[in-house]
Amino acid sequence: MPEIIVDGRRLRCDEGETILDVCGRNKIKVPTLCYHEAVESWGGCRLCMVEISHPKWPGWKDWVTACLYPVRDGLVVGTGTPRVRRLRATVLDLLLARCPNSDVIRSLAAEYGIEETSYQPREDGDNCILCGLCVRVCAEVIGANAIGTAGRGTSKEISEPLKEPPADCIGCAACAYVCPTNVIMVLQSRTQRIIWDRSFDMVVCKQCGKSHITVAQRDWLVKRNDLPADYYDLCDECKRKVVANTQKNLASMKYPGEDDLFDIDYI
Amino acid sequence: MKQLVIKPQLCTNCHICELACSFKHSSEFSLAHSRVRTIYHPEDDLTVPEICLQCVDAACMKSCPSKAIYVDDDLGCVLVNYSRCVGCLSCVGACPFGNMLQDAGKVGHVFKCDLCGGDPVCARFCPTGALTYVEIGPLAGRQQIVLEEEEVKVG
Repeated sequence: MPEIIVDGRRLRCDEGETILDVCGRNKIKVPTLCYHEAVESWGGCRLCMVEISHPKWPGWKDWVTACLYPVRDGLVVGTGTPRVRRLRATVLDLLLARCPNSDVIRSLAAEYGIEETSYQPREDGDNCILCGLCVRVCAEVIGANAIGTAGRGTSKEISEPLKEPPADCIGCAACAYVCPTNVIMVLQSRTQRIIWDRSFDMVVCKQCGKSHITVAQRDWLVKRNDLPADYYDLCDECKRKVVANTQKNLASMKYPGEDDLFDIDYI
Repeated sequence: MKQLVIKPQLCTNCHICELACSFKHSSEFSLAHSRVRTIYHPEDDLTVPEICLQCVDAACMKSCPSKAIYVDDDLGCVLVNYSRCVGCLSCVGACPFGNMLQDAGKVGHVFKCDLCGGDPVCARFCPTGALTYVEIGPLAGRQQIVLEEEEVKVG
């Protein structure tokens, strides 16, 4: 079992863990933007940089992304050294130039002493920091691969394939949920959801008319989990009413000839 | 292992369980934040408290595409790992009993009974014993309906 030292604390690790895994387990805070437990680490945002050194290394250090660097026995990690803080401040300075209107980036930058960006702020841009979480969640968690990246360098952007409403999208809006800067727009009504310029019909509760998922997502779930087609016909509130009705009937059952109620519990 | 036991015929529809649950989890007194929901039936004058049944083979867990729902075996509790959750709401419709709840504020955020980590406040505050948190005998499964001395396993 490898052991590493993080900020002076000796910590036991499992083989194959990253520095970020170990910090997370031990409640050591390392800031991240493009990291999410449900998808593979990407190391795109560079915010989780930490300083590493090793007794076997002849007096030199390195600065690596904690989300990708695998632990090795004897590694010495500093999560808040002056150089690390300077690196994070630079990253946030650049991100603030890219997204000057993002409250999320602003408050993160302020934590590292950056109130205004030292670069030319991008005008008329949205708050996308190109962390890729939307693309990765759609690919790895949902498996729909409905969106991806388009272009390279300064013209790189998150986009639907060919910039058309994506045919493979199921309208689950997981991309919007995981976006750290709340860029992805979801327009929602009781019967419709519009996301990525595509309009989705919502599954409407047969009893009360409330909705929470799209028809496309329902079909995806029914297929993926091999469920009967009417599994999602009732909303959660109406399902609770059905269950309550059953329990009420059971609870008020009487023994033939007895006046007292059964002692019926359910767990 | 202790389990939450619900006796609907002792419930007086006082909503104290819901208020306690809401306050414990959100520091607000709001029925919308409660993980336990009481449903009143005026025709029989009976109220049924509805709460996550901590299923052995949880449908919510099976439906989650990011494997964010897991079981704490020591507590006998099905829990959501919010670091893994992607807010797709697949679990909400998956629960056959409607016990996975959605946050009215943040869209995509779900919540469910977490047994308060081992000391459920609903049971602590229930004035009539409709909700209790007690040790269950060795023959019990996770779900059961007790008919007097006979123990019948359900599910």
